[in-house]
Amino acid sequence: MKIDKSLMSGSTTLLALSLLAGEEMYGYQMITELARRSNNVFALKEGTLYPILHGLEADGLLSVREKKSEEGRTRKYYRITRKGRKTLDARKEEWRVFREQVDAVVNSAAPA
Amino acid sequence: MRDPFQIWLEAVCEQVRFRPDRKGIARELRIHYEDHCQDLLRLGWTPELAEQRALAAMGNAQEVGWALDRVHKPWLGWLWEGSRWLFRALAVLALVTLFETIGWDSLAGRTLNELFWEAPPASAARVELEHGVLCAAPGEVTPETGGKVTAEIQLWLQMRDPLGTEAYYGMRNWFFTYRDEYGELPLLEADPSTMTAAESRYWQNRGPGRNGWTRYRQTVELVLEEPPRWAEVSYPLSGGDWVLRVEWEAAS
Repeated sequence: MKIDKSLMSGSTTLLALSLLAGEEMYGYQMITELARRSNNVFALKEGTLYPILHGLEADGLLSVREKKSEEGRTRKYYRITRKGRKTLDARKEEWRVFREQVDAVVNSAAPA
Repeated sequence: MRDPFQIWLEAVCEQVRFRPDRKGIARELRIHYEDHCQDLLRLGWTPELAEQRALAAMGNAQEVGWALDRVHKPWLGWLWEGSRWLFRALAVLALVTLFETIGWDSLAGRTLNELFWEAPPASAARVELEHGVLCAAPGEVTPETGGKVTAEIQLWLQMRDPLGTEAYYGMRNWFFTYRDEYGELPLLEADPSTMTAAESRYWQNRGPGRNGWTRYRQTVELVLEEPPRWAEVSYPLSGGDWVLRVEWEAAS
């Protein structure tokens, strides 16, 4: 199932921070992981991930370091910061309230 | 034909006004694209189709470029670059001030002296001075051309830290005097080849002693007419009445 782009765009920070909550990752790894965890429902245009990551880094929510992989490629790995974890917790709570209220409205829409 | 991905990459980077960041952005996007291509090749895609699919997955170049430009703001970038240079300049200034205060020679010399330090042997002659301890021991005696010999004296100077400049220079061994059974030896100041017969006996520093505050080891070389039996190290200017005597074993 394809998801409306506008639904995705409001959630990208939450998704990126959630992906990095467990381990540091590089961009392509995040894209594949996002597809895997969402059963291929969330398919971001891959280039658009980087402005998001760079923005989160500029805001201090992520830190970045260069690391050489086993096959000799130097990649930028992103890691969530303490500030990023606090933001993630706040965004998760926002999302929980939002989802509950959307559900409430959607489920009450049918006439009795 | 130009690499389609390179065209896409250039279209992205053109949108980023802060030029110093373009290279890093391009490198990161290229690695992403190549990772995707490799994954598709592993799944059995042909190289052409893998490249087309990976490029299409990257999205619209202008949109990606605009979004990156919003993050890589030129004024913020230049402010960041400026602050980095300012920080470097301040760090260099702080180091220069530090070295100027405590002395360039002393800092480098002290580090090297610590690396080269070896404790004197128990058999070394020893004297306690106002500002530290001096030990001396005989070193090798080597025949030279022209019938001369060089005889080494090993010195160990351990100063109490910290020392003022005056006290420090008071411990430098070029103020020491050396004498053997034939009298006092002058410090070599001229080229030995131009020296007259009267100046043919002398002493000179041979290393590794360097300016430093705490302790250093120094080899002094006596150039003599014949192998020495003994030599004395003293420092008449110190005001102290002391003499260190080193003795060589007679050649068998």
